[in-house]
Amino acid sequence: MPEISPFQSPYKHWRSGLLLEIVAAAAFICLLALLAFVLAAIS
Amino acid sequence: MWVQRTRDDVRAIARYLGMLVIGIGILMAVPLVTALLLQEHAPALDYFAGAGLAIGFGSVLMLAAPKRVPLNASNGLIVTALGWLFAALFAAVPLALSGHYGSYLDALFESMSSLTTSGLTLVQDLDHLANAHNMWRHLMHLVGGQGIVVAVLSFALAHGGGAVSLYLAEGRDERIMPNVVNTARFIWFVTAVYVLLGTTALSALNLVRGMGAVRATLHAFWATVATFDTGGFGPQSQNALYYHSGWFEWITTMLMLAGTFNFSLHADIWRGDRRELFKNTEVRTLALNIFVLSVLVSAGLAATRAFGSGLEVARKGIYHVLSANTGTGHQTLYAVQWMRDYGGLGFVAVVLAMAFGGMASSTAGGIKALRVGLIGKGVVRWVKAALAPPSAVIVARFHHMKSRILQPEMLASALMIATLYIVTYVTGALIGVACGYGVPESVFESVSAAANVGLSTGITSPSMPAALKVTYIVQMWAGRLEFIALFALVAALLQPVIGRRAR
Amino acid sequence: MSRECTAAVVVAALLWVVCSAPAYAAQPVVVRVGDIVQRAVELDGSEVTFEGEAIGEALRADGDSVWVNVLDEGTAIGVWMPDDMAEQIERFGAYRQTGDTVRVTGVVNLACDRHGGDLDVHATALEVTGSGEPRSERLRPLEALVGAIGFACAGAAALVARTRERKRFEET
Repeated sequence: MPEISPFQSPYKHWRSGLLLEIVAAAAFICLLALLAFVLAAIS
Repeated sequence: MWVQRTRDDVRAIARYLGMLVIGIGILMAVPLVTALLLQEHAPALDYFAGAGLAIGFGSVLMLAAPKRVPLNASNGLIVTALGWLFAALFAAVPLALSGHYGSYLDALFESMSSLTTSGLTLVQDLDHLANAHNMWRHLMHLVGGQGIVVAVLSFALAHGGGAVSLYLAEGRDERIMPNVVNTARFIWFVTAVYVLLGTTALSALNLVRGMGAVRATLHAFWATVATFDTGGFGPQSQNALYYHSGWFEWITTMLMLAGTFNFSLHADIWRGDRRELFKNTEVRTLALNIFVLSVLVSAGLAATRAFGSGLEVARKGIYHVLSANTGTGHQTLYAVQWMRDYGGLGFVAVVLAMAFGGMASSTAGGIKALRVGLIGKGVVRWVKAALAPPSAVIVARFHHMKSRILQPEMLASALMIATLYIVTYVTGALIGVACGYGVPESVFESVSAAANVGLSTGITSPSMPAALKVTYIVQMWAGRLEFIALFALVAALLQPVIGRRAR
Repeated sequence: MSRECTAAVVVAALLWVVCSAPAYAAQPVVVRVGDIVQRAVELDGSEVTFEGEAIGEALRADGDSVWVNVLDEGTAIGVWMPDDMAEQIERFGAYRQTGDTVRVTGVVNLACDRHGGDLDVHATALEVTGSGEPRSERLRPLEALVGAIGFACAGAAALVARTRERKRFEET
């Protein structure tokens, strides 16, 4: 696996990186909400 | 040994401080222009006076030393520690003139809270505050979040050597790129992208809901800045509850998470290293931390039987855990409700979330997930070593941009800073109790101040004792700088005493 | 002055409620907004009447309903009401003006099931009892003077710095 050099420009793939961050954040919040929902339902 | 500071050192420190104070004065142009555009004449005068005072004082201070005087690392620490205090002192002037603060101390509390992206507020009659003043309160989140010394001086020092030591002193201990100016530029690029996205999304929401165009955009920009910079101010006294909108809460929690991302992590992912998001020790620690606390807060809120459905528990619980863990401090509950209606497990989980905090090298406060992760790994290694035969060499690995071995010095530094945070939390709580407040709310408020969160149980109000206001100001200051710069300042001030004794 | 007026109105309203209501047992309680927040557990589900200033704007909620936030002595609360009820309100409080004073009757929810667990009030009646007024700005000329002196100092300091630099340049 090629390590990515810290000297490489962080602007190169910024759009796809940004998209990944947004999708990951949304998925994470959904997961937490689902968890809270289930916990509240069973208690 | 204690380094003796010479007269030249003091002059250099004064020059850089002057530069910083001028920077704060120049920044006041933004609220000034806002006031002029919206024809708010009295606030315009407040900012004219504030800017004049800051630029005048800064210019005179800059005369202390000649141009291009070098700044070493030790003096950089002093400039940083004093810089935050001076910035807050001058940023408070227009707020104090606004007539919405009980005293200059209240205004100073507000500016320190704003610059450190805490979000505790002492403003009075916020619902009638001028747009210009709201612009300034939120702009300070933006400048303070990205690192005020870096923000102001990276432009002034583009070619100087002093920037590196200042950057490191401000609690942004990683170099994303080999050069500080490029690093600062990247930080501003990420911020601009997210602020633009957030402002667009929230403006659209506000317009759909019937706000006027100017007000919709201003509110959207402020809410975006307050959440991406994990600040927590709002332009209305009800904070996030003013909007009564699930969509608003959804967009702002996304911004909070983006704001708590380590800037090195942003850089690595934007370079194209997508796997880092899942392998990074800090990301994993924070995710686990939020996950566990979400379980606690959900169980706690469900046990109160106040909510009719799981969806409500999710909306209140997850919002507050995220708001606390990322150090934002937006609230969709009234302050008194934390103690009265939702005490118990939910309350404890939120306090813990605030205490742990978000990721290092982000705008979040608290102990920070990287340290928590390293300490966790350290404990595991310790147990492993205790169980293994004496001849075995046990190492702990963690992943942060690349696979690394946990060195004793890293662990020691993480433990030391975590301890300092805990000592600060406890001290503030003790002072709160001494001022006559109950133990749980004192702990909550103290952690909120020192971890730069801004959630409140209602202690923070204009009528609280001045001693407690000063305590929280110092806590916010110390917590934002992660202690080192502040200790350096204290050591330098005590220099004559300590130095003599050492001799 | 206006606070005393509001207090007088509230006292009068209280007297009216207490004295003139032998026939109605279930009159809504007259409260302050601060009381609603403080006593939310006790008031949960009951109908109350309160008075305050409408602030910000009417924010569109689902369907034909809006949110109006009502401020009273530093505490504001969200009131959910139908569109046409909110249309009576002409001015909303902001920097430039105070909002209309509204007298709201509605049901308190400690954790509203319809609105994500918020502490809110669902209005059943609304009456505008006072109209909002423009707020005046007070300009203080002293501030202009302070600013001007500051900028003058900055100019003088810049001049001193420049002559100093030039002198050093000539020396070397």
